[in-house]
Amino acid sequence: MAQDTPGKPEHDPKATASSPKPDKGVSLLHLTRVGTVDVPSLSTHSFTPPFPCDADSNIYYQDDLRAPAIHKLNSKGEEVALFQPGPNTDKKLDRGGNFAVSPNGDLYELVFPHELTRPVFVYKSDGTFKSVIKLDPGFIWFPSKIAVFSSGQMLVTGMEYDKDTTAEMWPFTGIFAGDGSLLKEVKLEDDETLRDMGVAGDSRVKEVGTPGNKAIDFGQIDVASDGNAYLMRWTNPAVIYAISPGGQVVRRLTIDPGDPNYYPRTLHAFGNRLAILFVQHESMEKIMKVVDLEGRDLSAYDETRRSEAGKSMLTSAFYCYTENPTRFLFLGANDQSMLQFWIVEPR
Amino acid sequence: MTVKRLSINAAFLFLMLLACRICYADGCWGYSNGDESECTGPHGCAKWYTVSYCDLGCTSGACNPVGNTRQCCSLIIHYAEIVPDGDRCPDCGNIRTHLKPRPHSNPHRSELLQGRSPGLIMLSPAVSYKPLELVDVFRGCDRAAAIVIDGGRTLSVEGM
Repeated sequence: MAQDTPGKPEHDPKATASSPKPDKGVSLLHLTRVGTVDVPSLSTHSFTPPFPCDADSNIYYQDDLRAPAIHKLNSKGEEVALFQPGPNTDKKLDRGGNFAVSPNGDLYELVFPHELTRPVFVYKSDGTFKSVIKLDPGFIWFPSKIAVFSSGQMLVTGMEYDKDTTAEMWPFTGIFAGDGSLLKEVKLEDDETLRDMGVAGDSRVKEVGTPGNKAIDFGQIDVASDGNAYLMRWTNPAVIYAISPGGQVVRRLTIDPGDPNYYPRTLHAFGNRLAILFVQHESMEKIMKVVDLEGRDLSAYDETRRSEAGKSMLTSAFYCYTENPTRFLFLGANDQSMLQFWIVEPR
Repeated sequence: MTVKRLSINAAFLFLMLLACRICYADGCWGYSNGDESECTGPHGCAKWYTVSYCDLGCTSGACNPVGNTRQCCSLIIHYAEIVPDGDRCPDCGNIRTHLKPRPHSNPHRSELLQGRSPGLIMLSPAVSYKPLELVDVFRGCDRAAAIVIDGGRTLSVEGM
């Protein structure tokens, strides 16, 4: 059933419509789908981050937070493990949440039971339940993104209440120990500005009729080979903080897609590089930028478009990034909504 | 015939009320936003949607986890709605006090604001408007002066 045909472009790479504006000397190639792997056991109509991929190129797909189940799929599209919080607790769960894979393969999932505690469920790589960690910063908050360091310490970001509980919430980021205690609050210098924008109702961070702050809610984190977590805010330009396991902000990077209408969808680290997928919010056009861990531009790729319809060829579900050769893995679906891996290379 | 129809209608109404009663729960709630999702559909349809969830928090009221509905391509999405009842939530957990930060203390602030100041009225994602601000009026014996400010910049000094 699985068909893997890397090396053969499925669409005319000359048929392109978008043009990122990379720095001088940066190559401008097109993201081209070169292979497809069917996942016949799963169907989908939507893609919601996180989009993690581990060192063995397994990907982790979560389809419905209200009936949370994370499917671990190998590179052939076969399900090799299933992570479910429901069977591992007596408590009523409101929903699942963001999750991350630790360097040793354990999976950490933010879970929302019907109580004020904010636990993390930890599973072994085969899906068996390992432990529960109660995140305890000492105040009520809404964690939204998690990353795990090799030490087992966690970087978690989210929002907390103002004393006036009807007022705009405050971003909060902290380093938590393996027992859930808060080791250090991480102050991120742009959070004040992002909250001010939220207070003002700035549509770049606020969506009409919804609470929260898009810059924080839609951000992503990945841990790179230097041991630091790279926390990205959903801003233009993308602001990325390199945060050490001890909670020091080592660097602040800004990655400019070259167009104010592109926002960062996700980032993945590979070696000493970061790949960031930017998506134009209206047209769904995409730009992939590859930078080093200092934020210097290495490559920029735009998207090969279907010449007849001008439709976007790729989804925004960017899961894996590898080099030698440069290759990206996206999730997509066929016309029958069957889940597929899309192997994408710059051509 | 009419009586039978009325009975059916009454039974339907009762079932609807019962269903609403089941899906609502009184308590103290807070919204948390999910990530942005991309839906896909026929003919290459691809769009964005965001959903909110009810988590326990500090807004007294009722949560209907499927009280809001939107469509994305051919996908119907239900998401949470909190209906506040105006009561207080005295035991909704500890809350920290945040001191108001110093304004403009971040050197990178302009990078994110991109020429727009918080307080703008956003007409569209890319177009914004800020009403001019009349900051002071000086009145002397026979003349008046006004300073008009635009986003912190003195635009005009009139009447002097």
